[in-house]
Amino acid sequence: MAKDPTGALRYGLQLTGWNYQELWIAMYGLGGNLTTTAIERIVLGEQAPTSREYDMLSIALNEHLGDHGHDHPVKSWQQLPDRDR
Amino acid sequence: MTESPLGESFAALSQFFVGDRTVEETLTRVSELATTAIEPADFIGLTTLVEGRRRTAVFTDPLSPQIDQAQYDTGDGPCLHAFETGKVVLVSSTREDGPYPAFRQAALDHGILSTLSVPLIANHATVGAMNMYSRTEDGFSESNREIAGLFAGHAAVVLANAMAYWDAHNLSLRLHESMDFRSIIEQAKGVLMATQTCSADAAFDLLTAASQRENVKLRVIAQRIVDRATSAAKPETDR
Repeated sequence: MAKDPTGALRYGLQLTGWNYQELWIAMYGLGGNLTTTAIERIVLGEQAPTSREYDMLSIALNEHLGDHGHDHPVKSWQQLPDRDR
Repeated sequence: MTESPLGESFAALSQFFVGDRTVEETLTRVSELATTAIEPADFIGLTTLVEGRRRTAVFTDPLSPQIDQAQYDTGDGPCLHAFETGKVVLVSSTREDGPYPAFRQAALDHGILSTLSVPLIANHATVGAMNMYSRTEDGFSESNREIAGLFAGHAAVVLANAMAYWDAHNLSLRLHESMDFRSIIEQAKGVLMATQTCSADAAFDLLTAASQRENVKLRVIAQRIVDRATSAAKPETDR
């Protein structure tokens, strides 16, 4: 069943206050290979990420948010709800 | 022939190198130069965006943020109006009724009888507002307002350049840091692939699991793995 990652990523971006470039920098530091354009398309729901691509973004957001008192507010791929049919 | 205070201020502004000081230091220097250039101003405050909200970022007298708080609390004031509209806002007398009543009262309570707020506009964008406070009623003549506008135009360019410089500088630092982290994580994945006989993806999953289990950043886990591997690789005589 398909997952819907956009809400979780938007939530993470809202909490961090990051733009796509800043998310790209953090994701790059973890070893990710998405472009900034691809990140934007994923967040906007125009491109479906793989589970690995999504988890790279959620880890990048959560590691930054952990420094600011949050406890993994961005769900992992496994924790995401399934998309409604 | 000695230069006038106005001329000295413009000269100092034109020679300002934004890379020598932080944005806050730049703002402070601009405020100091403005106080010299615009004689009726007893003190000056600069309103800019601080963490997404308009605040008095720097000031030449602590009375400035005290007076300004009235407009931040109400969302209504000449500095905010100048920032939002890009227009000059003059309060000729805080003793008289008029717009921004809370601000007028706060200014009057602190002995300020007139104010002049000038937007700082660079590249068609408002980067802040320069707010001048006078203990003289009707303290800012038309000539003063023209000079303030000229000075603000130059100051806005300096500020915009300072912000762009430090944004680029900070971005560069973050990129370097990100590249260092990536390098450590890739090395750790390599160690795990060799020791666990697994794929790169599986190695990353191991790092992620350890990070979540120990509630420690992924790069910290990776650094430990690399440190252990390099320590194990040292000859006995080096340990």
